[in-house]
Amino acid sequence: MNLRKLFIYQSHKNNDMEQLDKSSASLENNPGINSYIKNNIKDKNSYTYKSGRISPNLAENIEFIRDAFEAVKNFDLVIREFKVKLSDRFVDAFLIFYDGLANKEYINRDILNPLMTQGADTMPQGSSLEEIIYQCMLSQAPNSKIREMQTIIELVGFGNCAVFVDGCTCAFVADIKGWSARSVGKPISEAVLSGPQEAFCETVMTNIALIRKILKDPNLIAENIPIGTKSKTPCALMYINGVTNIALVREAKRRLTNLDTEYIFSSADVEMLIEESTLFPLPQVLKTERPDRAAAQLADGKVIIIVQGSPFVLILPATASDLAESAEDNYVRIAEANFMRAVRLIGCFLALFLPGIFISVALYHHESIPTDLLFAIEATREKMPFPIVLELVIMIMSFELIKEASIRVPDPIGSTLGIVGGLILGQSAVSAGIASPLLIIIVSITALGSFAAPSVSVSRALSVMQFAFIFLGATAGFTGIALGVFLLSLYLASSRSFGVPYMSSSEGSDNPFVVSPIWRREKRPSALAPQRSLKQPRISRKWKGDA
Amino acid sequence: MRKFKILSALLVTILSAYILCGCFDEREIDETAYIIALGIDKGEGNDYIYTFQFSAPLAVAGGGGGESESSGQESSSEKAEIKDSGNPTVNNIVITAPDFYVAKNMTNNFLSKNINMSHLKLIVFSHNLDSDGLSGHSQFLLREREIRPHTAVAAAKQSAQEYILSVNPELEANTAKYYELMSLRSNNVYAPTKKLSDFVDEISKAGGSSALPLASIADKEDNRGKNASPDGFWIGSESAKLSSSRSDFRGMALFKSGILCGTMNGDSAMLYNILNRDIQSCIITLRSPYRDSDHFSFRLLVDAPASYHVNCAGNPCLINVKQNLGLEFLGSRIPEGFSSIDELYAFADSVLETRITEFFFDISRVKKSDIMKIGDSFKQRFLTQHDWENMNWSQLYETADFDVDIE
Amino acid sequence: MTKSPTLTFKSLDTACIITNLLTYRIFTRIPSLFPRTAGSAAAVSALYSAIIAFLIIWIISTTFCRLSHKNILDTAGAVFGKIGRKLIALIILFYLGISSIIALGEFSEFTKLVSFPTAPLAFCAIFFFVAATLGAFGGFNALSRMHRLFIPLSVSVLTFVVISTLWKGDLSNLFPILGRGAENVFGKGISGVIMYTDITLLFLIAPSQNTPQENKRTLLTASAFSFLIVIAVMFAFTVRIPYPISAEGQFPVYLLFKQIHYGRFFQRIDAILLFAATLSGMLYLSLNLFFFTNILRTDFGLSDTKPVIFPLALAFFFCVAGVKFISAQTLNILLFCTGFGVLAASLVTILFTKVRKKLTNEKI
Repeated sequence: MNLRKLFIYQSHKNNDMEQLDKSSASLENNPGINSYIKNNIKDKNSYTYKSGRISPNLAENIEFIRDAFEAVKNFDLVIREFKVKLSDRFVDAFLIFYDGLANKEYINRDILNPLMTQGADTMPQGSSLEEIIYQCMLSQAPNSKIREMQTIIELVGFGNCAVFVDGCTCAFVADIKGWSARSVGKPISEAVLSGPQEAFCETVMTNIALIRKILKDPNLIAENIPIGTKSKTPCALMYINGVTNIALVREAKRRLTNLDTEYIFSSADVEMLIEESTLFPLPQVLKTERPDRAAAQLADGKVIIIVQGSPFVLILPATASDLAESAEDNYVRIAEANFMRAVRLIGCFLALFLPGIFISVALYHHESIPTDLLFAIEATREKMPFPIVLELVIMIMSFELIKEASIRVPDPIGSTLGIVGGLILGQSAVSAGIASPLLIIIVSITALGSFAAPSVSVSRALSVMQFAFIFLGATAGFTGIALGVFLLSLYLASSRSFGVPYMSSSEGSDNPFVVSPIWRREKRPSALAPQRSLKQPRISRKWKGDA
Repeated sequence: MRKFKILSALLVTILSAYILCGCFDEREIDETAYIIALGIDKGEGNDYIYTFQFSAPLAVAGGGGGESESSGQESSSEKAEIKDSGNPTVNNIVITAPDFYVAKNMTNNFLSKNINMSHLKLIVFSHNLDSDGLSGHSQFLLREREIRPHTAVAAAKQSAQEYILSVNPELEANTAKYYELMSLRSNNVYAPTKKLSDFVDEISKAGGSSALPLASIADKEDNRGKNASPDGFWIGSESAKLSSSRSDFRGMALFKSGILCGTMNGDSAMLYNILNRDIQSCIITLRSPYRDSDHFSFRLLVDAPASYHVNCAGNPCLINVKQNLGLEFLGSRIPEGFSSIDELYAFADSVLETRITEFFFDISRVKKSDIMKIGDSFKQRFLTQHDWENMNWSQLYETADFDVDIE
Repeated sequence: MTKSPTLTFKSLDTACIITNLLTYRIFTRIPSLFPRTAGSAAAVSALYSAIIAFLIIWIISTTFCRLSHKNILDTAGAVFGKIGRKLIALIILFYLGISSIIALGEFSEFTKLVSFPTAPLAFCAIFFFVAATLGAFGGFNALSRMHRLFIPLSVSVLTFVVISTLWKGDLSNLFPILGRGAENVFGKGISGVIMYTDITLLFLIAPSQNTPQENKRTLLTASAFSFLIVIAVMFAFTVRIPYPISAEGQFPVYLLFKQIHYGRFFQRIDAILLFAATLSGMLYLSLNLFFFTNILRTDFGLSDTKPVIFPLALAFFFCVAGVKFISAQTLNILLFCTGFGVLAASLVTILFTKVRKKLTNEKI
């Protein structure tokens, strides 16, 4: 099945943004200098201001840089002037970097030292100054010659160091980022017992490296698409060339490059900007902090987006069956994996429907309750002051309060909160006659069920949607529940995620409920229409034939 | 677009208001009173006496209770009276009314809660209800949305009111559970089990016959030795027991076309259960032919229900009854007078055959009720309903001979 | 000639749609229809009408499944011209309308019987009205996916009913084998074929994705499976509930479901039946509404279906819940007439297609 008519993104014009230069959206479309930088420049007649390129006159460059970066105000900006020692003369130069973003050790050792002291013993004949400095003097590996001032400004802002030499029409930009960042740690929200314990961190290059070391495929492409007109947040779009559907890659790129916003802070912002419908109840883009899971999804033909500053990468497209998968499914035995998946699905089912079903049975379908249980419920409810619906809502909201508070509570009093919450919700509420014991059990099971969901987004979505079913159950019993199920299914069935129907299966075996052994997962998900649908031949365990 | 949005919002508001203004059938559990037993007796004239027994959940949850000796209060109303049966887990209301729904409405005068019949466990009909009363009541009760089709049905030996008011279970805190276990479990071999749906199905057919368990109240005094039938089996209420709980299920009442044909004792009920395979096994006790004081017991295993073959070649019809039973002697030594175990088994065989033959003659010639549904197996030979009706099965059955073969 | 849009769907989706179209009436009227005419031979009568319906489906599928990119209306247009096409479209529209009104009324009454004894019928109908409207908005692809989700549930519930009630049934209730007589069983029993007329709705869409052989195989397999379910339910109903009582009562499957009793704990699980029946009804009504507006678009010049869905649904709703313009008996008669009309139109179209093809050697 091919991807259908693609979603047409329409950007809404923001009146404030109209004042900005529209051509300042992306690197390729921006030969000049951004207007908000241009406003800072005092000398409007300079060559750099007019052309956007480096001037051969060092004084002009230094003046421009001082104005552009507002050096007087920014105390962490370092402009170091020095002289480059050539074999026969000295040439003026300066470098700029942000203290805290750049690694000063590398600057001292690999840039200043060779340029100032070592110099070039011999000058190759016929070489220009740029070539001499670039090829003979700078001992920095990630180093590039940049001629556009805007690019240099952006790179310096990201932690690079730019070296300007008098007489050169380019600057030498060294990638010597040295900011403090969290190292590769353990996954927090997707903890597994049997699988790898590495998680993504906030640095995009590190995250790309984590995926590359798993896949080791030269066809694994990582395209850089900066997002945010001012923040220029680096964003890597990863896919496997020759596997991933080209239309999917194209659509992802189209959405990412047509985002007109100033700042992007995390992958959640990107998710909200590129998804089809923000009001959709379930996530349309998966988020993971596990490199192994991201690599597996890439191998299946999906696209990954890594955003600088966020340890969660986005996997698209997402379908309903992806929401039931957990990373642990691939690291345990098949029977265990299927059992755990069944438990998970039951948990999600309970989280969504149990309160609604309980309410509908308690209000409309008394005959469904076993007689002994019914009389026990009636006896406990005799003393309750609230209607059962109100009681249920109060208990659920109390539990949500505890859940929310426990996220932010400091560790030392975290356990105390658990005890207090349990006491308040459990014993005291029942003793005071505010809640019945059965309702406490219902709410607890519902909460546990929502935690069984493999993803935090799904868990929260279930917690929100359950109120709709409570309302429908209280209004019309099982008929209301059936209507809710119908409408939810309709919404899911008619939705698409990047052209892929949301209710299509994502597993290669086309069965979202059963975890199949790896030797049976020959095909990639057909809904993604990958370029190569077969991952492995039908008989992948060739040793079996030899036995 | 804006107009469409306003219209949609308006529509949703109106729909929500309509839906929310009703919640028409919403009933809180604690605002509902559940009837667990219903008794229907014939009253004076065209009236019926309805006994409603409600569960008192607070007492049930509190663990039931012992006996209460209070005799209750009687209201001065001519038509309605409330009696306390001594069972603290129930609340009884007796209403005399011409119709069930009138009675139900009148009950609302005494109760603050809505009445719900979805947990009705037992319906007791008085044995003196006429055909219209029995068929009419049972059919509309079956059609009642709330009443479950597998509600147990019984016929009262004395009156339904007396029976229901006397129920005070000793082993259960919940009287509803007592009814369920008592009336529908197969461990009571001396009374048949009958569900409302089966009862209505049986009596709705033309000339339909049915058997209901007999619900009765034991006499207050110990009746051991009195009114004992020769084989040691008693009909309901004449029981050899000393117990504070006086209600029991023993024997059966036979109906034909909604009219009571007669009652049979527990022994006959046991045979009825065996022939229908409603019980898989039971223990029978036989008296020795050689010594009156000697009794010996057998475990009877029922493999399959009895099969019937009707041979109408002669006049009267001959009905062959065949059944496979397993016998297991439950004694340590062969009783006196019997030379071998085979002789003992042969004796038991002959006693059973005799009893079953007498049973069939009783139900066909005396009671004239085809409770064993022999007609249903005979009906299979006919192609159309018309042909079957022309056969006049009732006449054939009431004059038939029986040949019982127990293997 | 207006070309229908090519709507594609997988075999499983098709099978589920066919199953729903043929079995949704089990929840409302099928099981009590046959005892009223045939007495204790209800199962035989159901089997007889199922065989006839299957033959009709086979005949229709033999022609239509070969015609890729063609549906029944396109074929009628090619054979009879524009007027013929519009006439057949009108008959189908009438059938869809009457069927929707009856289905909406029956399912609302079913819901009212099980859950809302004191509520007005309008309250119960609102849920189906909302579901049908939004379902038709969702489009055929969404509806087909939903059929794949819910119809197995519906079938499971019916299978559960059959198994749970059959083992406690009395086989003597099946006798006399010809019940109220051969003329009632086989003569009047033929009217049972109308219960399966909805299968022709599937021919309003040309399944162009699969090969003709696959289409035909899917159609016949799903139809056979559906008829098996109907016969099994009919058999269980006849065995469990004897003749005079089986002919009474409005919602026989509900009566059957009430018989299920697995011990003290597991009793009275009507809610499961209500759930399955409600979903089945909602899917059927959504599909009907979708087809209705689709025919208006393809044959009567409607440019966009979406603005028409809601007023149409509202009209059906008022027919059921508001002032009763037409009595129930008249509706039933109209249903039978239009049902026969649709079947006849399909068969005639096939006949003339073959004749014309034979005479002119024209590719249709």
